[in-house]
Amino acid sequence: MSRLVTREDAYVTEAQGGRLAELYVRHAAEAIRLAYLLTGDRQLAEDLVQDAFVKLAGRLVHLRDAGAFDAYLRRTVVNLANSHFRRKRVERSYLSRSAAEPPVFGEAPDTGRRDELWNGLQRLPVRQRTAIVLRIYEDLPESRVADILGCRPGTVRSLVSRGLAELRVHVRSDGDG
Amino acid sequence: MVMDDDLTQLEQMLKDRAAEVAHVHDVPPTMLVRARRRVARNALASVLAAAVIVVGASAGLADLGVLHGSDDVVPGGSQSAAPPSTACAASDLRAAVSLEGAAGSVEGSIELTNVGGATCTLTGRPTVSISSSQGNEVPLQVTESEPQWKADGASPPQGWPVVSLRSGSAASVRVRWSNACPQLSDPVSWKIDLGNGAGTVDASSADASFVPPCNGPTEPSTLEVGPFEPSAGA
Repeated sequence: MSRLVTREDAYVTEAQGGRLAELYVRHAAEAIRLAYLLTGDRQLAEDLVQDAFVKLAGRLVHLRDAGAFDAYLRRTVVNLANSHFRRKRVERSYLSRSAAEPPVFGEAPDTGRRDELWNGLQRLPVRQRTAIVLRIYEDLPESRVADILGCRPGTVRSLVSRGLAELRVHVRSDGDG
Repeated sequence: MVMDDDLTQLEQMLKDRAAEVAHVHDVPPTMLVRARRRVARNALASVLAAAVIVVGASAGLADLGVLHGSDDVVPGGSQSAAPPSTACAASDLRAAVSLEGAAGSVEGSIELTNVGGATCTLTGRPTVSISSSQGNEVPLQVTESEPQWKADGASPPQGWPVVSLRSGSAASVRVRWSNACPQLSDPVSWKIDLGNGAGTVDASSADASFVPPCNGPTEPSTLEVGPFEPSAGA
């Protein structure tokens, strides 16, 4: 994104001096959309993206390539969403299993195919869901998704394939119910 | 596999859901306050780290009599010419591992700060090993990764692949660790072998205790290690 700046040092200085706000206005919506698809929760998505910008504010001085901001932001959002779910797993392990778990994403009953897909997507393991969102919504190549997930491109293919198969099972069972 | 029209529906559903998020016009004031605090905290940490290094280096030089005109030091000409840089020895360096959780892995960098009094150089790629709190080395499948500057799409730093470290400046090694099985729950220690007989540096940061989740018990634990490069914070 060379339109942000023309010189790296100018970018760093301005960004630290207050361009964070400008970067937020320019990039936050797309980041929130990604976080929303990964978490299924609008408020949580906005919180994660704010956390991501705070985190990146501390690292702007280290960002050598202004054009890499999008990639940094995307990776940070994915990592924060993953950390969120990891924390949730730990929290859940301390909760009583006897109590019926409330629906995680609190949606109204399914009214159509798209709701079934949405709820099914949110029930997938986080890595499968992340791989699907990055491949199908963000339209990133397998190599980029692999870089973000820390795995091989073949693993991304497998995650997407298994995720889609599982999603189809969820949708079918929801439809039958 | 899901049929093509299923994929199309899924893609459309994702776009529809994403479209529920409107464009952002306002910046949350609390976020800016938190960001400024973080920048200030980072700056303060850098200043303190630099101060510690300067004080340490000054003390070392004073011990050698450099700062007090010792008879052992020849004043003038022969001292003003900078000696040629030599390869950094482990005793010249202090290591800290800075990691953050990524999807299924932990990633970050090993920062190697020159705490010696003279400029030295690092070249190539270190051999990195990780040991459990019991002192057992974690079996790792180590692979080479590209340097951060290349991942960022930046041009090579000056002099790279040789990284010249003035006293107080730091080099960085990009690392990503995945799939630690069985799940490690205690802190781990990192050892960075500089190669060419230069010795091994132990990592000291508390962050080094961060370990990745065990995602595939039958799969190896993998560690990606980049080459030495100038630290982004240097």
